[in-house]
Amino acid sequence: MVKTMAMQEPTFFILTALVRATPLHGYGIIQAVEQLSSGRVKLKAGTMYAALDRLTTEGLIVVDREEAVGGRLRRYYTLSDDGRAALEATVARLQSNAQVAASRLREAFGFTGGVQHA
Amino acid sequence: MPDLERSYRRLLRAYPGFYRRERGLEILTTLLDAAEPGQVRPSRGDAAHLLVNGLRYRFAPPTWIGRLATGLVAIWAAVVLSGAGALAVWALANPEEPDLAAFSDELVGRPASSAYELPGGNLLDMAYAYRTYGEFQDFAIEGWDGGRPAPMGQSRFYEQVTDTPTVLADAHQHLTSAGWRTGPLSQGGANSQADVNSAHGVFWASRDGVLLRVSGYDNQTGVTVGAYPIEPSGVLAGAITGFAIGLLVVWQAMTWMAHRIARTPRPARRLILLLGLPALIACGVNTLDNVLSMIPDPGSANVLFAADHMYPLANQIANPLAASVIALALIGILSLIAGAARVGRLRPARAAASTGEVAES
Repeated sequence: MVKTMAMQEPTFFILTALVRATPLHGYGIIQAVEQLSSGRVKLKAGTMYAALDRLTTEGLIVVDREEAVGGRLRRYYTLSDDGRAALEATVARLQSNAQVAASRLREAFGFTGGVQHA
Repeated sequence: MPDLERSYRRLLRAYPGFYRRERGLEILTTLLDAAEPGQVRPSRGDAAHLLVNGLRYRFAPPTWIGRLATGLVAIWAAVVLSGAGALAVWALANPEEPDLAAFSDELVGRPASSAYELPGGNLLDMAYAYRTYGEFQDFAIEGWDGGRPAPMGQSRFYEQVTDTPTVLADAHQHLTSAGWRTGPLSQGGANSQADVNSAHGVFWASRDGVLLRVSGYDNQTGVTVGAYPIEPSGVLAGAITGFAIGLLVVWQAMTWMAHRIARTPRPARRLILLLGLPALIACGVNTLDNVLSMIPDPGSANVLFAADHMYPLANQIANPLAASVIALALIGILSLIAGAARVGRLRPARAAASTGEVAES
């Protein structure tokens, strides 16, 4: 199932963080999301697991393995094929949105790439 | 156990048990992984997010159908339990039925032709049926604001009274001078239909927690004297408490059930939906019936008496069809849930690290 609805930013960054060769556990995702968003998106554990639950239910991510060591439990997540498709669809959508906005700005002000002050 | 871990474990109790079993240790691990070195207590942001998300798992059902079902069932149960709350307060207050037979006969100046007891012995029977006796249907236009009657007690009829208006006026004067608080004596419509419901001259009086209703009937050829206790106070508060507790408990239980159903394999889910549908319809229809039967028709002179707050429960006893359908569906669904395999959505893809959860077949 490919989600065509607009994706919320934390979800977008969680999926983006999981685009990699090796799976990530919870804290790894929090770190990766913060880094990928240049520090803008700081996930709290409670919120992130609500998102992970939703993404697991929708089949966009899967649990690759789990590690239970010393009274701790880490589950490692990867992107599923559906997750990859959903992220690709979102990227295409964001690109097309950005293009529309950029071309309108260009038409109106003959300028792109920043805000021009008169 | 370090303080930080203990604090996080305490915060995780905001989540329902089923979720803690699925995720609790994993979330705790992540929280501890993310903790600053030397941190001894959770940050305010972490604590708030854990509480909010925990409560969300307790009170926000996962799917639209889960939300619809939760709303219908929780509101139905809350309305019925508001009746139980009202009943509890009423039963505790235990208003005493006045015995004014002799007093009433003296007031009218003759022995009663007949008398009937309102069914006050069984409170739920009373709450269900008292309006059919008709004596309370014009309360709002009978000019009485000195306390409302509990519909339990005796009504006495005096037939073939030749001069009803005089009897009523004398009774009114007698009661006033005997220290009763009396309401205005309305003359009523002498030409209206001969009907117990439309009184031909009526007044209310009260003393020592007893209410009297003295009225003429049958085109002013008869007199009725009804004696009732004043309705107990706090019945509305009992109803509201019952409603709130019912809503809180049943909403939470239904949310749990919705989460649990979301974790059963698809064929079981379909069966559950099939079983649940008649119950959901019964909940909706019965709630409408309960509320609409209770609330007085705006075009009438009816008012909402404390006894009416017991109606939603009384209605279940008098007409048990809806409650039976709902109970049967609940039993069926719970046994399906108990028998169905649990879908292991958090089951690792790699077999080596199985959690022991059962996969969807």
